[in-house]
Amino acid sequence: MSGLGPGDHACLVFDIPARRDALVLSFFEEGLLRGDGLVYVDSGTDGRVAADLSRRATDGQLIVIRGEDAYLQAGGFEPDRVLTMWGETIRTLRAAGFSSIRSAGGPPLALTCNGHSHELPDYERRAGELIAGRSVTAMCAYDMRKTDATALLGIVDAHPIVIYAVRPDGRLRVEQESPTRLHPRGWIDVTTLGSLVGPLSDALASGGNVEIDLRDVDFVDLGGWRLFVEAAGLLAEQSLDLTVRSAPEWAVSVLGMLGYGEEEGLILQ
Amino acid sequence: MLYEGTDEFLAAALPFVSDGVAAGDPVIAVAHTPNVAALREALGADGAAVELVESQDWYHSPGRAFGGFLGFAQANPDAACVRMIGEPIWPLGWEAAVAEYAHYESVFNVIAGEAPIWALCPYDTVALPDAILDHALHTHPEVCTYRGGVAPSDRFTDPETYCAHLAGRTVLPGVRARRFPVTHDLAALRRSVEQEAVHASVDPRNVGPFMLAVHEAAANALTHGGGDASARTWIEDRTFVCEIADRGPGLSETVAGYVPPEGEAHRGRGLWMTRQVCDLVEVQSREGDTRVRLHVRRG
Repeated sequence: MSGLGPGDHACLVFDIPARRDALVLSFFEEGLLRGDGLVYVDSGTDGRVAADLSRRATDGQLIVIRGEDAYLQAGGFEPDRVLTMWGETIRTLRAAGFSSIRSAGGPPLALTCNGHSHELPDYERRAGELIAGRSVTAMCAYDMRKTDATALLGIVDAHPIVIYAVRPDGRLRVEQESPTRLHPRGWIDVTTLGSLVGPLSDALASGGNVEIDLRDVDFVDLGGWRLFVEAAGLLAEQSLDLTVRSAPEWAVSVLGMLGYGEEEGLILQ
Repeated sequence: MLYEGTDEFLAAALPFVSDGVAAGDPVIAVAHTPNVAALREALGADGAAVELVESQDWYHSPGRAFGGFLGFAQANPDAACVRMIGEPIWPLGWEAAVAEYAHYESVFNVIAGEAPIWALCPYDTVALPDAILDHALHTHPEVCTYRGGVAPSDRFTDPETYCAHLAGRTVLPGVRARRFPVTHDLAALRRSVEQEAVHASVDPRNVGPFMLAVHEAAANALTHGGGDASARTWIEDRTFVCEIADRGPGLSETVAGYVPPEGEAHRGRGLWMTRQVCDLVEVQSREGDTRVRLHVRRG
């Protein structure tokens, strides 16, 4: 975590909570050493990280907020309200004498895999603007297995820095034949989709047209097709395309039924 | 619209279509071949302004036919009124499919109530059995004939009640079914069901989309099904069937998956897609017992 500094807005994509907790603790270790103000958003943990930090922080140095309290204050997700809360939290720590602030944690499960998860990418963009130039370092943790994959692609895109703490998945191996060419093997469904997000995000960031070759993929579920549509949309913003090779013949008509048929930037071959 | 013979069909349908053309309304008329031919001839030059389709080219499945009509309405978003004639080829002898077409006729009231759609549904009183004419009277608030009179249907039943009635009548055919667990190993389920589908002589071109529908139904059952989902497959005269059952709170039997997805919302796309790619979809939903039966044609 030593690479992160003031103004950085990083996304931590993980699949094992223990690995997340270790990285979050490492991130805060530096803050403790430097005397930073610390904000920990505690979602889906056993409480050990919060307890450890509370024991070691000085008076007023640490603010722990439950994920539900941070993101679902009014029962639902209201980005404006959450961003206002962040602004107030930063001011509170500044007033307590902490000129540099570190924040880590992430939204609760009730938000990452419900019908409002598609609002998270825009929220994260706005959060990045909020902390830019304010001596705040933020690391937003998202559970790859419990976040809607299409939303996760947008969330990753909204962060300038992305850290992947994800085990290789034997059910879906993704070979990067070049920075912009992906060759997945296995199947792409709700149980494996998260494994594709990392390589796909890297390919999207490479600045060229992207290709995904499905010749060794025996199944793609609706979530997989949605992920391709989302990726194509992100590329189209840069006047670039996503080509999906070896797509089944019926894919075009099924995507059309879903209203995805004329997506800009998506080429099925 | 109850009619007997092509002359009566034409006497009722022609004014409906001609008035629409004169008013500048988008008009689509899907009807049996002799009726389309008579309408085309009677319209003359006005026929160019009407989308005339023979029923066998439109009614491949209830979901696709219904989706086609909604697509026609959506393609004309600025129209003050969209006029439609829809005359299905009723699948006589296939009770589940007849019930599903009746379900669509009933649900259409919900859709048409929210959109500027004016629909005329012809029923041939000579060719169709009483059971289907009874469906017609339960699913259409008004009845007309070639004489031009329009009267309220005293048997019309609100869609929610009638759809629940239709779903409740569905019974499992007396066939031997194969059972499969629905667990997070969805790939294993897909392999098993695909093997059965191939064994049942499902056209290989239809297996891929059908398996997508099976997967989405199973994934939905895992997510919302109260942790106890199962699958069964069997072969019927016309179709191969995969049923996904769960013990979740269930879903609306009235409109679930009948309306196409809109905007950014991704929820609901799975069942909509399923109704489009399958030849028949039956949904039975009671508290703690939801069954989604997906049919694909054999041969």
